[in-house]
Amino acid sequence: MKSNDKNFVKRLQKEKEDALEYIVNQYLPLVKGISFKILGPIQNEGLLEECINDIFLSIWNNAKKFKGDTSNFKYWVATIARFKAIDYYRRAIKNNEVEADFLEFQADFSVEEKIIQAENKEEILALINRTLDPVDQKIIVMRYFLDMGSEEISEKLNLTKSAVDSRIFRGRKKLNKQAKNYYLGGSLGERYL
Amino acid sequence: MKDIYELFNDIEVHDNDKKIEVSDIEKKRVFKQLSHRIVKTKKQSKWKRALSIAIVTFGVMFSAMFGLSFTAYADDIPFLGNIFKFFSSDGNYVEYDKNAEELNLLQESNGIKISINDAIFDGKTLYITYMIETHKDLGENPWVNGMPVFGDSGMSSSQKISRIEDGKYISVMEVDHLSSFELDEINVDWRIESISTEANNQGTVFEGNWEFQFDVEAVERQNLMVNETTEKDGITFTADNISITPMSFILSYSYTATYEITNNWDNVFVTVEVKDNLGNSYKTLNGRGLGDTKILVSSIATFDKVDPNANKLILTPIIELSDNDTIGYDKNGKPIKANYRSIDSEADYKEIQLEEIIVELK
Repeated sequence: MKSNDKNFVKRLQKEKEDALEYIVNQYLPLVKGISFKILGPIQNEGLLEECINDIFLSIWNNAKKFKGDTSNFKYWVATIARFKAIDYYRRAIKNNEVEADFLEFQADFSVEEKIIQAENKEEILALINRTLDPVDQKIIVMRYFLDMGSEEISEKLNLTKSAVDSRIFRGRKKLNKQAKNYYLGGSLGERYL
Repeated sequence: MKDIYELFNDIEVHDNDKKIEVSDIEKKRVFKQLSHRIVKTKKQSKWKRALSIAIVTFGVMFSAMFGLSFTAYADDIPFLGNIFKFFSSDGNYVEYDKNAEELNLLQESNGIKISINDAIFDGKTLYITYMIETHKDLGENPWVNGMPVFGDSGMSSSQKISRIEDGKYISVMEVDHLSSFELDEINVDWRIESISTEANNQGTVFEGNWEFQFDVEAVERQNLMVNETTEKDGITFTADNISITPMSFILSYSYTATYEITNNWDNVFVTVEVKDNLGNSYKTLNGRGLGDTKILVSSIATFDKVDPNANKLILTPIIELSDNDTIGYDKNGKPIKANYRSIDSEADYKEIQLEEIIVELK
């Protein structure tokens, strides 16, 4: 049996390799386009290629977490592509900064920097999950993981731009407070506070 | 808790306008790279999980203590004849039972008893014989999920589990370490998390906790440096080393293929036929490649015991070049390749026999 536009998500979730081949054929133009838009300025062909591979591997490894049908699979793919490419971009930029070490001594980090610095995003994500309501979770993820502007977010969520801005402001405040309460002495506390 | 990939379900990025054109060749290349890596991630993750348990000192101390106190010695296992002998009916594992270390360790969990009978280690590969006993229905071909861990690098394994009577299964498990050097003694840590009726934890799954820890010394072995190279049609084959054990010999070899070959053929397989000066031919017990590209591959292959009267081994490398199946044609009439080759495939195939390498046995 082969993958087609009807069954490829199911086959992917069952770890059938032909489904991977199918999604590469279908979505490489999209994945490459998104990655190139973000990583293009760095002018590193190898990094771009690695990022594209990583995107597809993440899709393969996390396929079971996709909830939806074949028609909105492409949006999920695009979101992952953007998330990964931004992560690669930030890490590349960080590596290029000679004085990055000095940042460690600065007392007050922004949420944004914490997200960038966190090699393992699970801790920060756990914090977001615990602290914020679903709408704020979405907004923070869009803002800091997907690097979307307030305007783009407001369009997506049907909110006004100022509502988004104030939710980001309050969300960050809550996160910082929670991080202090729960993680003092914990790994997050040590590393970020 | 929702993880990031689950959260992404609710955030639909509409970036369709960013699409750029990608050639079919590039698509194929990306898929090819991925198809190599997806296998690896699976292997690696298992290994990493095992490693992370092993390197935490507390974990090791605790598990060693539990291992000792709860691992019953299986003197009461009914004698069932030697497991190696059972599997040697096809000529494999001859002489393994004589040289194996008897362990007789028993663990029971969730109504399933697992006992390890013998282990033997040849410096490269660990062979463990074990038996499963239960009243539960594990089907015809049960799978044990959890690999023995030893040494300090990744490993691969193979196992065949046979049902010998209702509720009784026996098996020989083979586990390699991927270091280029041989090890003299190993501490083996084998944690089994579940037994399933189908591969990869599918079918009916019986969860439980079976944990074994034991040490195995490698058998005495004699090393012969060979370092001979032979070349033909773009393939360079090098026999690196032969290690002779009381029950087998292990040939390490490597080969390189030119860019033309790897570009023109989907698969490059190299096997070695071994004979001695008395006319005996030797069977491969197992063999596996350790390289990660088609360009340079290092392999080891384990063969039967060397005839003590032989004084020469004759190695003939055989190269099989093959293409994968064509599963259809695109709109330009170009063939679309599968990433596999079926057994009766009619896709291109070519066999090249390289000149033999003769190894003097001292």
